[in-house]
Amino acid sequence: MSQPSPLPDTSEIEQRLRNAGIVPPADRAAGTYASAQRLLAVVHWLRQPRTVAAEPSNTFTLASKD
Amino acid sequence: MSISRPLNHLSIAEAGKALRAGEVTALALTEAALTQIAEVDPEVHAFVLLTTERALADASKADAAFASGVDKGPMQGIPYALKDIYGTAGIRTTAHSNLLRDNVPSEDSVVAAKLAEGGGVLLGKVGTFEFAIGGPSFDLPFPPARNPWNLDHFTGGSSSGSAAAVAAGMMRMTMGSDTGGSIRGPAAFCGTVGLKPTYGRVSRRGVLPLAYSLDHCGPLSWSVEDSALTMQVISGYDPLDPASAKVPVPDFTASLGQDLAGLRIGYTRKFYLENPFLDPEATQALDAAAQQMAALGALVEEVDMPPFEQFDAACRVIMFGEAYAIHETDIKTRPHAYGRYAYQHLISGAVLSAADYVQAQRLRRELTAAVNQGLLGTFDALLAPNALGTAAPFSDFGPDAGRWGGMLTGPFNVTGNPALALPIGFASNGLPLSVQIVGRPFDEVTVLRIGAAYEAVAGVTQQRPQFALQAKAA
Repeated sequence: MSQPSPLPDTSEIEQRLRNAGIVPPADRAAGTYASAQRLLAVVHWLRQPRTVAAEPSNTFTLASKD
Repeated sequence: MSISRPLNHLSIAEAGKALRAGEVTALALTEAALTQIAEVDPEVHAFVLLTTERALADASKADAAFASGVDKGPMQGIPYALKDIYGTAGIRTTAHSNLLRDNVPSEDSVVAAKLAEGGGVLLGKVGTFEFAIGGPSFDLPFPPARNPWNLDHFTGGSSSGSAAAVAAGMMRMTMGSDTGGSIRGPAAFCGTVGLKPTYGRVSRRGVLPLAYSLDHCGPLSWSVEDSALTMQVISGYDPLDPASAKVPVPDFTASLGQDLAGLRIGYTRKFYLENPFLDPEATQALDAAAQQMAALGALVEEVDMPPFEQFDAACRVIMFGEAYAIHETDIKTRPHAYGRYAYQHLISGAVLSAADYVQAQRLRRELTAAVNQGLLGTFDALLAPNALGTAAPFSDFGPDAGRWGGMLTGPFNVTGNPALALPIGFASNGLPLSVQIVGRPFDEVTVLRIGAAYEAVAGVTQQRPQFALQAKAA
């Protein structure tokens, strides 16, 4: 079972958005922060031990292409 | 064959047979569809653009083709509609957004072109959650589609108009798209069939993207056979779609009508049982569906999957990361051109790090192996939950749409497997329940076989909403 890290608060999300060059309009800020917080709440599931083969190249094994 | 049923109730195969026998014309089928649309769509709001002149012209062309002995396949003379993210030459394609309200592409998407070349009759464009990611919004150029089983409830999304139109009997098939469940979710909530084909099976070229590595194009339809016949027309290798796979196109109807003898189906029951939002009525319906499949001859065994939360995390991080990359410029410079729900979803991708995205893709590889080399190395198909319950009422959606969840569809966007949404009954509130049948990559034939065998004995897909049945065309 993955251990969640503490969720970022509004000021950290504001900072992440500023780093991306974004200041949400005031009338949409609360919903934006809530949406971002829900997304960040799941990223701890991505950081568990992986196999050596777990790399992003050719994730799908699709049939051969020209 | 004498036609004793309303024309808009005929399956694609039945209509095709009648067309070829000269018992009905494409024009009559089209007029029946247009009548049903006129009767019910003022309440359902499935369509964002009706292309009546184009439909009548397409129908006349199909009738002329039949008269001269030209047969372009199963969609010739059959009315259909496209989700409004499919590019259509000379026909407005808006993604249900103010941002593209005047967008008129100069070329057809590949799917639109294939359906047109196959003699289909384009009725128009149906609504979507904005850019296939928003929600049931009221701040967009068009109202959200309503669930034909209860108009106070939403349809699910993002292929909202596609599902509503089929459920309300306006036509047998519409095209949708599926990035995290956008075909299977609305199909589940509106009681239709919905097929997300294998990633790479159907070209995405000309369809507005949401997330490149998760986007799939596929049909929503009244029956499994309708979807199989549609797949025959829209599938195939496209060298100009980077995700397209060069694989043979099978006869998707080849195994329809067979029972399930000899098939091994893994039932991923534990995958959802621990979810606190699961409706017990959904569990009962799923268990009953599993028993029915066993009665049809399949060996059904409970199996374990990796935790849903891993699939969900990979799916959301990849989806929001890729979607933000696509919308970055517009969302920074014209935030109010987007509706509130789409804005909130899309902007959240900006808070992810590059490492988050890479880790999600690494996890994706392991999950894909666990499903394909693991479970589907042993089983012919998986039976999985689709939604945790029934469609929510519009009143559940406040200013923050993302709070609503309840879909278990994302795992098979992460892995790329074909997945069929199949109606399995109704909850006590009268709203549909659904299951997913998941197959090996490029084995839609087995998925459709299982769906059709269940459908034939369960009879659920024959049921339609009362108000749609009472309309004049029906």
